[in-house]
Amino acid sequence: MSIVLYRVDDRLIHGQVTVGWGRALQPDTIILVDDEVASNPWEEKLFQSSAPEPLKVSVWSSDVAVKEVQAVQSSEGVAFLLTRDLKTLVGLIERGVEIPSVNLGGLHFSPDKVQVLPYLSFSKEDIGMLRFLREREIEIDVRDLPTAEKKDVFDLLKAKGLLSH
Amino acid sequence: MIGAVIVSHGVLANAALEVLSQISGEQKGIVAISNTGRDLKQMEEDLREAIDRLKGHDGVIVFSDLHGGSYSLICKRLLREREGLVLMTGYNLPLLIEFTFYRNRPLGELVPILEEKAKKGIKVFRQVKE
Repeated sequence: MSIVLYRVDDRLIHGQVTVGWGRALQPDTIILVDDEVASNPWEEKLFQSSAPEPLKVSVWSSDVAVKEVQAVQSSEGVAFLLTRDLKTLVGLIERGVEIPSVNLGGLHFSPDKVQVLPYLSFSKEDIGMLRFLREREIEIDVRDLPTAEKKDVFDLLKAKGLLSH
Repeated sequence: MIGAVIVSHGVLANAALEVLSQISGEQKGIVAISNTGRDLKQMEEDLREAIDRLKGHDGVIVFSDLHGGSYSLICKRLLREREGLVLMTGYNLPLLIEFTFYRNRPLGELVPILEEKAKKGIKVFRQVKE
């Protein structure tokens, strides 16, 4: 299964993912990497019930993802990999998971963050992780939906005075 | 009297509530909330708060625009802990209008009526060739 979308979205599995991206890229599996959901069988079922049939949902802890992602990348089928925050995705990369491109699809505002788009806000820690991705030459794809125009995250940060270079 | 929370992506829920008051007259005990700009945890707080505002009703129906959307997921979580709460997904205007007329019925009677009215509210017309 090839993983065609690595997405950071704090709503996890919802309409934009299953309908917007789902209809465009036709995945057969969504891999949700989330320690909190993976540790709670009821929550796991809850998220699985949110995906329209015949879409399958696998819920993995980060530990499982580190072991399994590579096998998934080289098997048949099409999958999305979703995390609720940058920290989880960057954690996988730090532990050796190769990820070519990160889609930033939803990090909603809270008082400790600066908003750069209606659906995208960053904490200081997030900005550090964006630099980490840039240093590793991992593409950062800012789009809530596949039909949206791609934006450069560093231009957005500079426009808010959050980054000087 | 049954209370209602209409939830949606974007402006749909607020618009639905506004249209509803134009058709059925002004309604008390119906709250509309949107997902715009909110993450999952914030949406859960919003939904809990909306349901709490309807305390004193004989039950609450959450009308969600889409099964698979975040509010539907969150509401399923709340169903575990709250009595007198029902989630109905994929609402339409016929359903909401019927709710305003039947909401004085007990929840157990009301929900099957609404389900039927919502489904019958969709009608298809085609060109008639003479």
